[in-house]
Amino acid sequence: MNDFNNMSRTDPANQQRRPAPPLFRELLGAFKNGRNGTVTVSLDGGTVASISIDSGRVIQVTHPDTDTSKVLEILSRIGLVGEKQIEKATKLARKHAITLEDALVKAGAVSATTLGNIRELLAREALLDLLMERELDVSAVWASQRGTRACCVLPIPYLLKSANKRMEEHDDIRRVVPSGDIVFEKALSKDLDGAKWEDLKLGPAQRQVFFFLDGQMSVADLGIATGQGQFAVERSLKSLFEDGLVRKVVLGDERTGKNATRFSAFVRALSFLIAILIVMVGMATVAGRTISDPLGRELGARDPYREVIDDAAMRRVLGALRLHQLIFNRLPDDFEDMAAPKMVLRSDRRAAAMITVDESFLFGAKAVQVGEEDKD
Amino acid sequence: MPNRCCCLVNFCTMRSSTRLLTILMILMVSLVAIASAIRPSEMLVRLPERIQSETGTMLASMWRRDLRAAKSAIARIGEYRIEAQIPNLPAVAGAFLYRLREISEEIQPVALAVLAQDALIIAPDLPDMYFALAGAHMKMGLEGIGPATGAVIQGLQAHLRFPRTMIYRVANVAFYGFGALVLMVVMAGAMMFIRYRRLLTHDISDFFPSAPATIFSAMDVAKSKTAGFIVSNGLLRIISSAFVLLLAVAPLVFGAGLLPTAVLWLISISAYTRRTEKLAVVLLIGTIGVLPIIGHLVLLPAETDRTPGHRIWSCYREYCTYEVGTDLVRMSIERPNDVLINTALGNLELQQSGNRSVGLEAAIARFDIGVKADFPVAIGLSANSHVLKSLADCPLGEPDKEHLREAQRLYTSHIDKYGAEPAMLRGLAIVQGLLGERDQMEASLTDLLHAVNDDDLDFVARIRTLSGGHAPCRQIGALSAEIRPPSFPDQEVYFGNMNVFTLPSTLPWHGWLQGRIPIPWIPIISIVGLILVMAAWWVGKKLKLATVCPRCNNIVCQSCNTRASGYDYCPTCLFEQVKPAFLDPLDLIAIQQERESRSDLKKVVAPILAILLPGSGQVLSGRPVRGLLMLLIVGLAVGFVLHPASPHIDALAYAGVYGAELPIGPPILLIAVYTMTALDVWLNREK
Repeated sequence: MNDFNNMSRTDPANQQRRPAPPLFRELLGAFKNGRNGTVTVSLDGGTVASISIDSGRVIQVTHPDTDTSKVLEILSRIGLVGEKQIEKATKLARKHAITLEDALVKAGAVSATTLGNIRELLAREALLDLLMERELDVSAVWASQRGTRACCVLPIPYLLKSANKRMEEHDDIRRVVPSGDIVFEKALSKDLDGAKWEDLKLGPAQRQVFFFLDGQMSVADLGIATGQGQFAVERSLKSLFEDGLVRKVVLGDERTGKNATRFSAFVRALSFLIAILIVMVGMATVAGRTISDPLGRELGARDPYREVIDDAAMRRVLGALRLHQLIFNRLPDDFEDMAAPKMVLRSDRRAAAMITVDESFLFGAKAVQVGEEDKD
Repeated sequence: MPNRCCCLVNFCTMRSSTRLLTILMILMVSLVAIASAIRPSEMLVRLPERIQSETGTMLASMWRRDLRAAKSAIARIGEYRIEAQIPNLPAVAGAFLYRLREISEEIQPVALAVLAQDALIIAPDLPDMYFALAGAHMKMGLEGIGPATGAVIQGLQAHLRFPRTMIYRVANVAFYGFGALVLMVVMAGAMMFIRYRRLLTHDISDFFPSAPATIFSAMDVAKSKTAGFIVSNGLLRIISSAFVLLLAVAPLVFGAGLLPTAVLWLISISAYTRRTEKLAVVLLIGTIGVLPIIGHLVLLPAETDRTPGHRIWSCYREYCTYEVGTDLVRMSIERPNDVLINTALGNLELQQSGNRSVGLEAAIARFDIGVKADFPVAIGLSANSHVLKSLADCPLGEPDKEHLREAQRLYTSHIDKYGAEPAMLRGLAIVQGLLGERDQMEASLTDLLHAVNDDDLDFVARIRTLSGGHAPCRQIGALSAEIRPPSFPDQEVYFGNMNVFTLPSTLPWHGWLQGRIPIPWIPIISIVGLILVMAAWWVGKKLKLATVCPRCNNIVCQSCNTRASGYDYCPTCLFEQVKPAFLDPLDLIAIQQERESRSDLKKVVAPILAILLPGSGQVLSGRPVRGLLMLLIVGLAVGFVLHPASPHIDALAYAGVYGAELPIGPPILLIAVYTMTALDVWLNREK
């Protein structure tokens, strides 16, 4: 508390003998006097922002930049939530009469922690922007905030110190990053001259910003993608710019980039068309031929390997005939004479039935019928 | 008006019974036309009468379990065989083996082994006799392992003297091996292709300019919600997958066959494989190149059975029947001065002569063609025939000296030119004894003792006694039993000029394996495939193809990495390092879990495949060595189940089908391989 009491001596307003921004003064007063209540700020276009304060902390910020659509935009931008999930959550919200954000949590699309973090991020960024504004119409109603739903917990000293720091850095940063619309890209070549990610000598915040730089995202976009907030990104970009690691994408480059993108899209579309043509022709040719067609010539041909299997039964029967003759000194009367003493397999019946000697069946016509039945 | 009948026979006007009879007759005639006609001689086993008779005695004694009588009959068969100059009696051996299996469970193991040992005399060159002896020894338990091993080694060595059995055995191994190897290469090739299809698809999609092949970061996920992205990315995926599908299926459809298509699969994924998989790829492509040769080995018996070499060899190593002789005579008409054919015909005359003068004279006349051509077998057999002729003629009650001198000359010539062969030294000693040259006989016997490594040296005493007796002509049977045929170049004669390792004209399964590609191209495709595989490994290293990130299991490649972040670093893992501060770790875990659910599918599919077809799941999971081994075992087991009896059967040494109806091998193999795969699935369930 003592530290903060001295803030008036160190704040830029005192140093430059300029009055502090109105919201800054209001929050400072609320903190010093231990007031609870709601501060209302009139914005351009007739909208208002309200800030609920309780026990030295901001617990709710209502601002166009903190509404549900902004939360959804971030969730969508970082890829956590898709359109289908939003639709599903909308139905769930209607059904259970809850907010869309709560419905997303309930549907399991996003965790409550992430959602809370995003809300706090949006509230902090909106609040810090307002704290630095000098032309604001601010009014306050001091009353107990009991019953007000806490959407964030932002200690007022932290907010004031952050705002103070931003004000100190503001001019230097603006020289490098004039606005949130500007686009930066990596100053190294596309493959980063073979540099390794592990060897980057950067702080965590700068490293994160550097990763997301793609020559297309604006500074504001980077603020959302990194989750650092726009000002923190600008601070990192200033540092990276001064180290020569990034450069601004100027208007001409953007045009060139767009042209390059258009050309790339054209080439891609063309290659798609050619590929589709090849695939269609290939598939049509494949579909037009049956597998049996190219092999048709072979299918009708004799298969010597099949003959080996077919001949095996015949050779077994022949061997069994010789064996029977050697043992009993006569040929068998029927197939069973050979099958029962395991001279042949039962499955050899057909082969045995088909054996002819001097143009007549060895085991008679009856055996042939039995053999044919076995085949069936 | 009579019915008009369009038949050649007046079929329509027949009575129904006559009609039925006619149909049956036509059916019978057509069946006879397609039935397998065999010559009556093929069904009959023709043996010398004494041997035939003793064979019956042997088999009947064995059936009665009268082992003593069986042994006596076996000894007599052996004696008659040697007297008749017949090296082997495979048909009798086959019948003996059939009976032996029939009674093996009912007699003592030691008695069984003794009987099998004694029976070697029936066909000393037939490998199956040694294996039967080994089996009998094994029934004796642990103490039988040593003698059984010895018998197995002798059996293996006997294959060199009995190439027909060797060829049949090789062909049977090739038959079962071929099916198992085809299953192995096709399934393993397909599984490896499926395993790496995602990487292949990724690299194919990289051919399209600036196309985001994989969604890496959350920002990409956000981008992926746009309609343009969905359309283009969906199109890209379809096209890439279609290309991969075309690569996989088109060669087969266009008639390349399964084997060349499998080579293509293996080449296309070889650049992505790990070290053991590289080894498996080389092994599989090499196997595909060798498959046609294995296929030819399957067909080899059908080829060799038709060759003159087989007839000639059979006439020398077995009992040479007149049926074989008829074929040989036909061949000798075409080639009257062919040494091998005439020597075989001489052997036929020698075996059929019954030591009678006329037959022996005919034999000597045939051998003379070989003697003039300096063919050592003909020289040796001619010398033997001269000895028998001298005893058969026996003028004045003494052996014919002229024939003995001729025999002595031939023996000496053989020994001088081709070394001291025991059979020739033996014949020389007998001749010298019959001529009364006792000193020279003793010298020959000494040389013989140095040349043989037989434990039974009783023959020395027998030769001394028989050749020095007062009436040697009366001992012609005993003396002819001491004469041995010269060594014979079995392999050279049997195979002749045939190239065993040549390529067949087709492969099994009606061209499914080779398609329309000529068989000689398959080994060439295999060699080219191996070269391309090695090139792919080299190029793959240079190109830095797609890989699976070991941390997040996403597919990454250098171009996609640098396109996403500027660094050759997995963007998904990189994003986790620079993720927005507000992102709850639980949400990251959820993203990771969703990503891993894809590999979970693989975790489910691979074990199911491993159970359905052991080995396939293992190859799919990246354990190729055990996968290939399991596929091979399954292939063998399936082959044994489908064809329990070996397809190549030597009908001339047939021994029945004991053990073929309910073979124990396939169930054991299947139990072993399913146990292996179940253990493997269980032990690797978390991987």
